[in-house]
Amino acid sequence: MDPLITNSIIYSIILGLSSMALTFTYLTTKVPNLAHGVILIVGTYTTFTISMVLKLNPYISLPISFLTGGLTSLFQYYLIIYPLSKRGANIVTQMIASLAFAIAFLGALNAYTDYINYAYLIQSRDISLAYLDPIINGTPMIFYVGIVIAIFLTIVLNVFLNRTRIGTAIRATVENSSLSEVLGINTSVVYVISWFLSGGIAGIAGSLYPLQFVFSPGTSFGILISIFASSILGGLGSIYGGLIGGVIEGLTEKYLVTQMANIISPAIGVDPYVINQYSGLIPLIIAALTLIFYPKGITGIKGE
Amino acid sequence: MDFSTFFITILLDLSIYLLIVISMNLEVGLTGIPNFGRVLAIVGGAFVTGAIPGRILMLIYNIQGDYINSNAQIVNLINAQIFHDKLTSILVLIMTVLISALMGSALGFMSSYPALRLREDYLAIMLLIAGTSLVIIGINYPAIVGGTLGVQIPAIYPSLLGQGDTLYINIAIIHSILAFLFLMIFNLISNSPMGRIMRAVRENENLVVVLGRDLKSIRGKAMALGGGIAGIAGSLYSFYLGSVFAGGFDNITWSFYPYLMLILGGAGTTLGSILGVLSFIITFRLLDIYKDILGGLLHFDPVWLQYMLFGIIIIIILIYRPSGIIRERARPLLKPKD
Repeated sequence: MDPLITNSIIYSIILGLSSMALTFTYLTTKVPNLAHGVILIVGTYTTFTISMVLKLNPYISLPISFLTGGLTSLFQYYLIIYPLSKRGANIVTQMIASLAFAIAFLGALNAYTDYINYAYLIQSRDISLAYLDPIINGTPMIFYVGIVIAIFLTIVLNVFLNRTRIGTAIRATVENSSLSEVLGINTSVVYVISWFLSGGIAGIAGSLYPLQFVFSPGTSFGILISIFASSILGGLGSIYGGLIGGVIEGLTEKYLVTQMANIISPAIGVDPYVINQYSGLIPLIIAALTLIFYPKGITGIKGE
Repeated sequence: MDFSTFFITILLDLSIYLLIVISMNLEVGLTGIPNFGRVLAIVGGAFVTGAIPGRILMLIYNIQGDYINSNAQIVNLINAQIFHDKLTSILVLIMTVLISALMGSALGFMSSYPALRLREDYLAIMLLIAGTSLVIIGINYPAIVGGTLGVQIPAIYPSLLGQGDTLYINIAIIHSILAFLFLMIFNLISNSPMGRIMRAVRENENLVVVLGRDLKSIRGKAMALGGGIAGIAGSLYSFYLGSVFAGGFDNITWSFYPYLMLILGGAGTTLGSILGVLSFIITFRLLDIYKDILGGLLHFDPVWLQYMLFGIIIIIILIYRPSGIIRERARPLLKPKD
C-alpha cells in the first residue's frame, strides 16, 4: 500500500485514540489535561525500553504501555487533581498544575533517556523503531495492528460505558456529579477509573507511535497541540467526537497537506517537502476555524 | 564566575523575564486569561527585530544585496557605518521597539480572537495551539529571519552603549529601568477602573456581561496590551543577543516558565511579579553553576533536574499556597456596612 496512506492512517489512529482519552478525562473532571502528551510519550518509551533494552518483540509492550500510561495518569490524579479539586481550585489552576506535572515528568523522562544512553549505549532520542516492524504484503504490521486496536478499544469502551454498572455510574457522573453522589455513586472511584483508562489509552496510542515515527521526550508538547486541536474539533462533548476529530486532524495533517503540497508545488516553485513542513500550522487552523464558526465541534452538530 | 558577572547575568535575565511576566500578569493575573502561548508575541517582537532594522539600515546606507543570503557581509558593512552614526541607530532602535510592540499586540489579540467569547479553558487551549505557530513559519520561511540559520542584527546596542563588559552592564541597566517602568505602568493599570473591570472579568464573567460590559473587548484589550509588552521583551532580548534564531523560541522557556514565575510570585500583584521572577532566576542560575558537578554524579543532563525541581515546586505551591508568595488583597471601593 502507498506509504503515505499507511503513515497518515496510523497517525490519525494515534491522534484519535489520544484525543478520545483526553475528552474522557475532560468530561469527568472538566480538566483539559496538559500532561496528556507526556503520558503518551511514557507509552512510547515503554515500547522503546521493551524492544531496545530488553530486546523483546515491540508488540509485547502494548498491554504494558496501557499499564504504565494508566499508572502515570493515576499518579497525576492523586498528586494534583485530587488534592486541588478537594481544595476547590478552579479549572485554570488545575490546568497549571497539570502543566507543572508535565514539565516535571518531562524532566524525569529526559533523565531516563539520558541514563539509558549512558548505561546501555543505545541512541535514545530522535529515533524510530520502524525497522523492527515486520512488513506484511508490503505494508508494515503496525498498520493492521493499529486499526484492530482502534476498533477494539472503541468497542470495549462503548460496551464498558453502556453495558456495565460502573460505566453507567461514569456516565451519570459526567452528566451531573453532585446528583450522582446523592444517588449513592462513589464519584471518587469514577474519577480514578476514568483517569486510569484515559492514561492507559494514551499509553497504547504512544506505544504505536515509535513503530512509525521519530520520537524523543520533547515530542510530547508537539503532539499535545495536535491532540488539543482534535479534541476542539471533536467538540469536547463526547469521546467519539474526540476519536473522529483526531482522525480528521491526522488525515489533514499528514495526507491532505502532502497531496496539496504536490499540487501547489509546481505552481509556486517551492519544493513539496518545504510546503509539508507547514503542516505544523494545521492544528491552529482547525482549532481557530472550529471555535469561530462552530465552537461546539462535530458532536455539537448532532445535538441540534 | 565572579560575583559581578553573576549579578549582571541575573539582571539581564531578570529584566527580560520581568517584562514578560508583567505582560502575563495583565492577562493571567488581572483578567484571568490563561495564556499558555506567551511565546507567540515574544517571537513576533524578535522577528520584527531580526527582519526590519537591518533592511532599513541597508536602505539608509545604500547597501545592495540580499539581506538573508549575505547576512554576515551586509551586517558588517552596516556596522562599519553605524558606529559613527549614533542618531540613526537610536532612531532605528526606537522605531523597531515600537513596531515590535504593535506586532506583539496584533498577535496577542489575533491569537485569542477565536475564543474571546468562550470559556477560559477553550481560551487556554486556543492560545496554547497558537503559541508555536509563528516559530514554525520562521523556521521554514527563511525570508523573515533566515530560517534554520538565523540572522545577525546590526550592532545597534554596541554602537550606542559601548563594547566589552561595559556593553552588558549598560544593557542590564537600561533593560532594568525599562522593566521597572512597565512595572509602574502595570501598577497604575491594576489600581485604575480598567484594572477593576479586568478583575471583575476574572472573578465572574457573567456578572460583567449582566452589567452591560463587553467581555470580548475587555479580554481583547488585555491580550493586546500584554502582547505589546511581550513584543517589546522579544525585541530587547534580540537586540541584546545580537541575532535572531527562530528555533530558539520554545514553549517551555518562553510560555511555561514565565507562567510558573507568575504563579510563584503571586498573580495579580505588582510586587509578586518581581519576586516570582527573582526567585526563579536565582534558583535557575545557581543550579546552572553546579551543573557540571551534578552532571558527573547523575549520569544525565542536570537541565532535567531543573525541570523536575520547578515542576514539583509549583505543584507544592499550587496545593499549599495557591496565592503565591504575595497574596492579592481585595480592596473594596466602598467600606462594607456593618
